[in-house]
This record gives sequence, structure tokens and C-alpha cells, in this order.
Amino acid sequence: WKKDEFKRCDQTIFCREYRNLDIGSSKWYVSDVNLTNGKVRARLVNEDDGEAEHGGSLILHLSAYQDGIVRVKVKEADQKKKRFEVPDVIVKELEEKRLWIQRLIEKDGASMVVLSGHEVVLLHKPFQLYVRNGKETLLSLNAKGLFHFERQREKREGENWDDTFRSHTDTRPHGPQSIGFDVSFYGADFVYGLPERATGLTLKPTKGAEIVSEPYRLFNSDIFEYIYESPFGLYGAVPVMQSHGEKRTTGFFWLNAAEMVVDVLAKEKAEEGAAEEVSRVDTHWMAESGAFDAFFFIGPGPKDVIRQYTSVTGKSIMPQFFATAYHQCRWNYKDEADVFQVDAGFDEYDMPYDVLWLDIEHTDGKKYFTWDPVLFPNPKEMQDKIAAKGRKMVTIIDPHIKRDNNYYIHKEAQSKGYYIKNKHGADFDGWCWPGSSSYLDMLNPEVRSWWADKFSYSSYQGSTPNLYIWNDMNEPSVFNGPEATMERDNIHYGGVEHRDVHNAYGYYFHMASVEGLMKRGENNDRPFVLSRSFFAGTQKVGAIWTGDNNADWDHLRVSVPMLLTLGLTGITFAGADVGGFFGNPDAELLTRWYQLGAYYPFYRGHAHLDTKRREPWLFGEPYTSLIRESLHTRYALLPYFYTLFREANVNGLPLMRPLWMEYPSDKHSFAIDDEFLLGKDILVHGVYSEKAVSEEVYFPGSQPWFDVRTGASYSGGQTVQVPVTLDSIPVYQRAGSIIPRKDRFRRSSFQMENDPYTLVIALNGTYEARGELYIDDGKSFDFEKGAYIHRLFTFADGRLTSTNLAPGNKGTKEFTTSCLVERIILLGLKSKDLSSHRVLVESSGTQVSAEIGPSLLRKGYHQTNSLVVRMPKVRISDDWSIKVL
Amino acid sequence: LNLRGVAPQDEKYYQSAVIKCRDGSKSFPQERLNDDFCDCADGTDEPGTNACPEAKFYCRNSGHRPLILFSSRVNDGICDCCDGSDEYDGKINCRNTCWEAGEKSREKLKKKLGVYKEGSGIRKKDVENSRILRRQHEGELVPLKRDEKHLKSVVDKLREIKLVLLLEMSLVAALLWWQCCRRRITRPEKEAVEKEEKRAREEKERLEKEEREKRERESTPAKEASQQAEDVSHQVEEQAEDPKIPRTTEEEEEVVDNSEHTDEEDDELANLTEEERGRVIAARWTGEDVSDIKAKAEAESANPLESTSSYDDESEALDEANVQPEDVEDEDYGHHSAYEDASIESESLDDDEASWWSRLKAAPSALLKMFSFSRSHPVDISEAERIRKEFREASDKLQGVQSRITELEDRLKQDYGKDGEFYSFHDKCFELKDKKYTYKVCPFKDATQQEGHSTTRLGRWQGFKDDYKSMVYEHGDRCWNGPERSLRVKMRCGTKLELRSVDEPSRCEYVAELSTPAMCLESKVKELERQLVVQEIPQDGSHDEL
Repeated sequence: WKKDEFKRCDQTIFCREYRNLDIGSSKWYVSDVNLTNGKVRARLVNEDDGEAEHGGSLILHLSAYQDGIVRVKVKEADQKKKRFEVPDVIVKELEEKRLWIQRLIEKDGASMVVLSGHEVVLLHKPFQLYVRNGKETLLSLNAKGLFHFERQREKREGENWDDTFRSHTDTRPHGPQSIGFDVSFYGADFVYGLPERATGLTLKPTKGAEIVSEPYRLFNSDIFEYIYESPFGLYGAVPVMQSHGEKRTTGFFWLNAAEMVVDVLAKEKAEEGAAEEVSRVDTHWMAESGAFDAFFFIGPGPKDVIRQYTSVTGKSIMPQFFATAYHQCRWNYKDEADVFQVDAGFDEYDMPYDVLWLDIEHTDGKKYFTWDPVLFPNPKEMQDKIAAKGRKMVTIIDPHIKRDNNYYIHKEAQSKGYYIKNKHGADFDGWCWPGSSSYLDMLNPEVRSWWADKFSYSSYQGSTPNLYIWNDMNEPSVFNGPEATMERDNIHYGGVEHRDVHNAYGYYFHMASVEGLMKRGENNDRPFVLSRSFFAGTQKVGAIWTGDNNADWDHLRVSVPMLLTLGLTGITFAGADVGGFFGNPDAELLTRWYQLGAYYPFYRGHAHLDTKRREPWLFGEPYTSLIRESLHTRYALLPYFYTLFREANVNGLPLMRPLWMEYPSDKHSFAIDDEFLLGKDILVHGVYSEKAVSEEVYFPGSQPWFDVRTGASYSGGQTVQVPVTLDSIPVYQRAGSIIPRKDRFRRSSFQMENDPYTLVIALNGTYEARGELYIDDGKSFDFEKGAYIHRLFTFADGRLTSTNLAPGNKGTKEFTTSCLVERIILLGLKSKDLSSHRVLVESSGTQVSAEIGPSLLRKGYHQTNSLVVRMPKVRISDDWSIKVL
Repeated sequence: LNLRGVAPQDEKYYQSAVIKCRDGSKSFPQERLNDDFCDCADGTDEPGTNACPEAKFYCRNSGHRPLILFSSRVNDGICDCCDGSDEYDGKINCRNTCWEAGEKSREKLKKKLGVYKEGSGIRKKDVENSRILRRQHEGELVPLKRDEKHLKSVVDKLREIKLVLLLEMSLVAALLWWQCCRRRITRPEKEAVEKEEKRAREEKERLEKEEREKRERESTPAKEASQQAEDVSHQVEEQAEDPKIPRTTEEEEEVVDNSEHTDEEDDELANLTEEERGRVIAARWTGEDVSDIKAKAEAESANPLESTSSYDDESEALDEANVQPEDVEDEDYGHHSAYEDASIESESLDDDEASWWSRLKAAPSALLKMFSFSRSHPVDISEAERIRKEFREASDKLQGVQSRITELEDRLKQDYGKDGEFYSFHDKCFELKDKKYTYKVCPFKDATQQEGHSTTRLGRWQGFKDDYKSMVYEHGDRCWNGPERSLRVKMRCGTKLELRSVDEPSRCEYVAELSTPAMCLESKVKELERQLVVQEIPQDGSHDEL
């Protein structure tokens, strides 16, 4: 990591100044509070300002939305230049959920708004804002007096606004305009969120008496060989934080795309001794520029906060089914012959995969939308050949455009004036893969629309319906720019400076590419575009991955908290490169990575150009078999994954969840980040060290957990030193759950479409269990018109029942499937119930047999603790009941 | 009895009413055979469906070769068997293409057989020729060894005589020197001489001690000019022999490598143009060679004076390193080069010291005259020269014989395969011209990649691997930020000996294909003939009950 190429806080003007401020230094007070249009409007005045002081006061708008969301906006009463408000992040539907505030209560120097179940109190002097729930305070703004707002002003004589870092000078033509403030989370033990960085799940204090740390930085950067445990920001930024304590979860989101830093303040010594009623976490937020547009989420639970946040920024896009399976990537599969050889390798070793990826070398001179004429002379035939086995391909399309006058994209973009401009108004010219490059101004909807057209089959020569897209380098990465990105005084659409839009640039580029695939597919082929950079709202356009990680154990380990953090900020379709991008993993590390990656929402193997080949069959036995097993595990669980993706699509919940999301009052679980829940029913604990013989696994809750390979059970609420071998990582199914699987091996997910289901029932102490299954066509948007199946499976009174969970009036389209249930596996039966017997399929009146059998169909798996119902032959889409016991 | 997917030789296994899973885990009644539910984890009960993940499906492929499929291919909508038997659920209709495919495959097989037949003939001849050549080489070695023994004794004798002569001449020189310079002889000087003699005796354990002594001597200010002269000669010798010197240059290379990861680079980047900086940063990912830019950056960031002097240091170090091997060689020849050493020494002497040397050199006759005074049997100068000449000639000849012996022994000790089929590879190199590069693969030596005038070594010979199916080269030139290059040459039967392709599937790991008759084994010809016979037997299609 080239640390010196990136700014530290003390090299960043606003960060240095804000960080040195004293608690209580804020000088703002409230006046003129009133209600207009169902919103509270108030004036903020600075004590130091004289009556006619230039700069004037600030205007605060307070509004509220259904489901516990409070929004506060603050802006200059007299804006010199309009502050940039990040468009296309907040969903349009939010406005429909706005509550019309009817009444304002004035009392004791404060104004109060009463909402359903909570109140907002605006304290007048000093200016402070509290979100409360009766007597209980949930959240506060400026309770520590760190609210500062640099109003835009004229340059004073002799004043120099230039900011020089290394050889780059930022002219800051509009001068200082930073914003800083404190937010406190009450009833919180920890705070989480603020991706992206390679650190643990909990956000440790960065400021306090004995702490020497940089603040958490949100500034999208292409960091070469990023390191483990550093508060520096990586490729994406989501300025949202979630707090959690035993009784309460709350959240805070600041919609601002400028460089931002956040300090988590350590508890002061005196405070610890004092009779503090509730624990509290104080945080200090600072941004270089942009607007003050903040959201408070009141919870009360972790899932509530995520639902509230995603109702503001959008729910996860429903992925194509293939995209939830395994992806094979490398920089680079060299030519068509190499592609076919890798494809054939998977078949030869009976390993399933769904997508083969091509990195930058497939292009003609790094000109995106082109093919190297020597290496890839017949791209269509190549894709067709891969697609004949139900597989897809992905090509990379980056935002830097080669300044080559024979390149149509460049010619058009240049003539239409679609590039980002430098401070002099000329097209910005930076260095990236193709050499001298310009960058499309994706903030401009017209540019996005033009870009989207480039994905049409007629425009993108050599593309087919089986080709999907990968966006890299969209931070944007500019090799010769300050901090490997572009100058902050570059100019975007509408005269917006790059400094204001920086963190969202990658999001707009991602959005434009997704728009392209939407157009290409006539709005009925779900787009799949993977992006490296991301921002709040990325979940509604596509997937991301954690960028250029290393082939070492630390990076394997940190992938879990990184992905958990993304999930908490709404971005659930994410994964880390399996194997590690840089360097050569040994066979054991690679195997462990495949075993863990099988539970990542996005599962892709990738490798750097300089690394040894590492297609999963190249390491010999036992590794080849173990990696194959990991791939099969993923494929078997695809129905469960897809059901979870639908849950994310409906209510924003992540697939990968920290334990406390499902067990919010289990204090022991709050800081655990070496294991996670996939959905609520599968507990996964990676193996993060060489030659491990055991792992410490914490089993949350009060019900047991069943080892998915052996059926062995472990009671909840305890930590167990579980023995491990190279064969597998510890994975468990929750007692009381029913998980749908497809256990038959196939080449790719495409061939699994009509395969029968296996239902794995893990019974709890009262012999009950419950599970869901969502199915649709896996590719179109017909599901939005009702073309899907949503089943509920319940086990009670010795009977398994399948009922419809979809609403009756779900829409006009329909989806059907003839898939059967071929096997029902019951775990958690007492030995008296573990015996071969006849089972009655009540709906059809037929009898089938139940026998003791294994929960996994592999050589050498003999189990005596599970009962298997043979071929009940009921349709997965029908209502039915089976009397098992 | 549903025997779908069962190989004919296994049909018997399924005849009983209760069938055992092959892994012994359990048994199943016959009606559960191919009932589309997996009872045996090893797939015994479902050879014809895809219910068991580990089952295998056998397709007969009448008219072509039988095929064994993973169960994942059964009814997956893709025709894998040419007889279409793997797709029977009616979702897709697979045409039976076995006869065409069989024809094609038989054609291919015939062609292959032809190549093998011809190749194995060539191979036979090659092996025979190699055997003859090998015998010749072995035969050549016997007289050579005899010659070597003889020449060695001649050379030893001559060396002895020459040594005596040299000793005598040294004595004279010492005498002369004593005459002209005796006033200057002091005790420390004597001690130094003694020390030097002792050192010569203890040559083997000298390395560390020498280093110490060197430092000792250097730290003592040399008061006497003669001692200084002595010291200079020591230093020249020591530096030349100092095994540290070549390491120094390696260290410098390492330093250059490391500098790419230090903060210095960051400062240097500041001196570059926008484009150059872009290229340097891009190179972190790509490994593109940007040393030219970096050198520029270094030059610009460093003090120009310092940088010049550091270049000088480097070239000096290199020069010293170059001196070394020559000196080592000289040592092998014994002390006859003492004369030359002295002449090097003389250059570094003060005028005073030089004067006696020039006198000594200028007056050989006077010297000899003096010499004869002190000797009982006089030596004449032409005799000395004759002996020197004879010695030179004899040792040259010995050298020639010895190098041929070494060459032959080196050749004969190599591994040339089971039948010595690779014996003729010894003197061969195989070349292939690509668009950009010329690849040159020399068995038993090394493999290179040439682009214009620059040559990159892909690896040094490591031997045959994979049961003589590949040749392996390793430890080639290191890649920037990557591994040492390596090459694996896969050999295939072909009638011509030629390099067919070179590829680089992983960065810096090359794979080449060489066609050679050496791989056309007679046993393989038989096997191919058998295969062809099997394939040509028309198979009974009606047996297919599917």
C-alpha cells in the first residue's frame, strides 16, 4: 500500500480543523420555527454574527416519513452557489411516505413534533435535535456541540484557497464550504457501517484520550494492495451507520458524496464512572463540501433499521438466477482457445460454473466495446458455444475512454461534450489502462442514456444476449491523478465540482451500464453488472465486489466483516475474490476460500495477471475434490440463496447477517465477525488459518444447531471448540428451519431448472420447523407482475405442510413449474422416532417409505441420526401435506 | 430390469433380487434400480439417472466408442453420447451421430496410426544411430584418458623444473633488491613477509582471517613505502579474491528492486510528467517495465553530483568483479604468473621501488651472471625459455584433452531416455518464430526467447519429466514483480522433429509443444492398431434397449 499517496487527516484542511474542535464549540441557535407544507422550518443563527453579518443564517427543514424515519436538511438561507444534492439515490416512492406534520408543540425553549411512537425535539439554544421515544432518547444531533457549517463566501483579499498535495494543486474556486457535526446513538454498545474498509465489523473508537488513529474515511480510492485493519477508505462509500445495543438499534445516514470522515469517539473516563443510565456512542461526521441532508432511523430492531434505510435508498435488485451461482474469472483468459479450454476443464472435472469472465486484455487496445482481433476474432461464436451449455460470459467495460481519434466512443463523446472537464474547461485527460484517457460525465442523465445505447447488439459488435458486464476502475481510478483519482476542481454537468460528486461517480457509471442492459433486454432481461465502486443506493442497480484483495489468510478473514458491513448498508449482492487477487494462494488457502466463498452472496474466483493459473482443478487431490464439493454445496443451496435474494429485494435484508441481526439481545454476539448467518437458518464459520485443527464456534440462541454434513447437534447459547479437518468449514442449520435444496449435480444452474427438490427439516425441541421458497423464471421482470411462486413449509404435529405465501392478487402474469419434491430429510428426531416406516402423503392418499439415511449424498456418508422420506412426489408449487410421524 | 446406463460387463452385477451398493454401505431391492432416487451414496443404484451425484452413465455408442459420463450429464438437455442415450426424458431429441462420429474418429485414428508407424520407424533408426554414436563417444574416451594421464605427468615434470627456475630467479631478484634497498628494510617489513608466507600455507581457512587482517593493515598507517607497496599488492589480490565482491553487485540489484517499494519512489513520482506517473502506477498492476521512467525520476530527484559518483562506484565494483575470475584461473596455473602479478604490483610502486625492478628487468644477463656465481650448475636463459615454452605447449594440449574428456563425460552422464532415444538431442536446438519472438529450446542447456537483440532466458535444463514426456526448464530470468520464468516442453509423436507451439498460460510460465519421432513408441502403435480393430467391428445397434 502506497500510504503516502493518500491524504491523512492532518493533510486535509477540513479534517484537521474539525478534529481539533472542542466539544461544545458550536455557536448556532434556533429562531423562527414554523410549519410549512407539513414540514418544520427553522432558522439557525450563529451567535458570532452581527445583525447584518455577511453569510447570513441557515435554514433547517425537518420532515418525517412513515416507519420511523426523520429527515433534517440544512442549507444557507442565501446560497451563493447551490450546494450539490446527490440525485438518483433517494427513491421516488419516498415522497409518498412523507408524513404531513400537523402540529408543533412549543415548550421550554424547544419545539416538539410528535409522530407515531416517537417525537423529535428541536432545542433552541444551543441548537440541538433529539429523536426520542417517550422518555428514552434514541438519537441526537449536536448534543456534543460540534455542529459547524462553513458558509460560502467571497475570497478575502490576499487569501489563497489553493490546497496542494504532493504535486497536485486543488484551486478550490468556491473556497471552504465544509460541514461537520456530531450524532449520538443512545442505548448502543457498538456502531457499524461506513463501508468500505478492510477492518472488523464493529467500528472501534478513533478518537479519545489514548487513541492514535485516523478517522474512518469515505473517499473512493483505487488502493493498490490494500492492507488489513486500516481505517482508510477503499473503492466505495456508504455514509450510513447503524448502532446496536441489547434493546435498541438505530441508524443515521448522511446523503453527501464529497470526501467525508467520521470519528467514533471513545467514552471518556469520567463518563464511565458516572451514573449513566444508557450506554451511548458519540460520533463526529465531517465532509469537505456538499449538502446537509440527513436521515435518522429509529429502529427499534436491526432489521427495522435496514428496512428504513432501504426504503430511502432502495431495495436490492433481483438478480438473474445464473448470477447467484459460481463465476470464473481471471485477468486474463487470453484468447478463445483459452476460454474453451477453461470451459472444458470444468466439464472434465464435473465442476459446475455459470459465468466465464474476460478482463481488460480481451479488448482491442483497452478500447471498451471492442475485441482484440487476433485473440478474440469470433466473439459471437465463442459466446454461443459457451451458452450452448447454459453458461454466460461477462466482459469488462471501464469508464476511462481512450483518447484515440479512431475510436467511435471517444469521437462521439468528444464531439458531444460528454467528458468531465478540467478546471480550465477542456476535456479532462488522465492516465489509465489505455494511456491517455477521458472520463464520461455520468452525472449527466443524457450521457448515461447515450452510454446505455452503446450496449445494444448493433452498437456493441460481437455481443450476444448471453453477455453481461463488469465495471471496474470507476472510483474513478486515474493513475496520475491526486490520490489516484481525478482533480477535485474538475467540472461535471451543471457546473458541479468533482469534489461534490466524487463518491457517487462510480454509482452513476454503474447505473448507466445497468440502464444499457435494461435497454438491450427491452426492460425484461434483468441486468447483471458488477461494479467495484459503489455508493448509497448501489443495491438497486447491481452487485459489487471488494476489489483487489490479496491471496493471504488475513484477507480471507477480513472478507467476512467487509461483506457483513456492506449488508448492513443495504448492499447485499457482494463478494470477495475467491483465492485473493494478488499473489498465489497455496492449495490449502484456495480450498478454504472456496469453502467460505460458497456462502458469499457473490461467488467468483479471480486472479491477477502475474499469478499462477488457479482454475479449481489444478491443485491435485484432495484439493480438487474439496473445491468441487464447495461448488456443489453452493449449487445445492441455490434455491435457498434465491429465496434470500428475493427477501433482500422485498425488504432490503442482507443475505449475510451478523449474529445480532437475528439475536439482537444476545450481547455476546455483538462483536463476532468470524462467523455469520446466511439468512436466518444457516450459521457459517470460516477457517482462517493454516492447518487448523479446531475452530471456536459460537452458537447463538436457545435452540440447537445441526452440522449440515453429519447432522450432529450443538445446543445454542454456547461457544464450542469444534474440531475441523481440511474437508469442510463449520456450517450449521438452525433447529426449527426448513431449507430447500437441489442436490443433483449439473454443469450449471441452467440445467437445474427442472430438477427435484430436497427439503431439509431441522426440528426444534417441540418438533416444529418452518421455511420458505421463492421461485420465478430467474431472468425476466415478470415476477414484478406476479409471475412467481412463494411457498411456506411448516412442520408441526408430525406433519409437513406446504402452503402458498404469495398474496392472492399478486399480478397478471403467472409462473409455473413441474418440479417435484424428491426427498425430505428430518434432523433432530429422538431415537424412538428414528425408524423406517410408511409415510402418508395426505393430499394424494399414497404411501411412501421413510428410512434412516444421510443428509448429504456423498461416498462414505453414513448417518444414523436423520430420517429420509423417499419420493413423496408432490409438486413444489402445490398445496399438500405429508404425515411423517 | 432397467439396465440403462450400465456397462455390458456390469450387467451381471444387477441380476439378483437384492443388490448391494458397491461401497458396501447398504443393499437395495432390484426394483429400486434406476428408480430416480438415490439409495447408494456411491451411485450403484442409479447408473441410468442423475439422481446420484456420484453415479456414472455408460453409453454404448454403437458405431463409435463407448463413453462413460458423469451423472450430471443425464437428461440435462445437452447431447453428450453420440447415440443420444443420455437424453431420454423427451425434452430434447438427440440424433444418433455415432456412425459419422465413428467414421471421423476412425479416420483420425488411422492418421494417427500412420504417424506413429512412420515415426516409430524413424525412432528405431534414431535409437540405433544414437547407440552407435554413443559407443563412438565412449570409445573416444579411453585413449583420451590415456593421453591425459601421460600429459599430466609431462606437465607436472615441466612445472617442477620451471618452479626451480623461478625460485632461482626470485632469489636473484631478492639479492638485487637487498643490494639496492637494504637500508630500508625494517623489522615490521620482515614480519609482514613472514606473515604473508604463513598466510599462503593456510589458504583454505583464510577468508575471515584475511578480512580481519585487511582491516588491521588498513587501519595501521603505512609508514614505510615498501610496506605500502606490499599492502597494495595484497589489496589487489584480496579484492580480486574477495568472495564478497560479486555479492556486492547482487546487493545493488536488490537495492534497485526494493526501491520500487520504498517511499523514495513516491517522492520521485512527483518529478514525473502526468503521463509518466500514470504509467508507473499502472505498472504496479501490469508489471510493465518502467525502469526508464524510474531511472529518470531517480536521476532527477537525486543530487546530480551524487548520482555520478554512485555510477562510478558501481562501475568500479563491476570492474573488480570482472577481475576476479581471471585471477582465479591464474591460480590454477600455479605460480608462473607471479611475474605478471609483480608487473601489476610495480605500477603501484613509488619511483624508488620501481627503479630496482626496472633494473632487474633491464639486465637479465647481468642477473644471470650473478646467478651463475652463486650456483654450482649454471642455467642458461634459452634453456629457461625452452622449458617455459614446452610447459605452455604441454599444458595447452592437456587442457584440450581435458576439455574434450569433460565434454564427453558430461554428454555421457546425461539421461537420454529408456532407449537412449534422446541422444541426438544433445547438440540440437529447436526454434520457433512467433509474431514477435523467436523461441529457442536447447535440450540439456537452456531455453530462450529472443526479441530483436534482446534475449530472455526462459529456463535452464532440469531434465525430462512425466516419464520422458516433457522436458523441463526452470530458473530463467526473473519476471518483474513475479516468479522466475520456466518452460515445460511437452513432446508428442510426430514424424518431424520440430517445435510446434509456445504458449504462456500463466505469466512467465511457458508451455511448448515439440513433435518428435522419439515419442512414437512401438507399443503405442500396437495399442492404436487394437483400438482401430475394435472400432472397425460393426456393433450391433439392436442391442440398445433404450
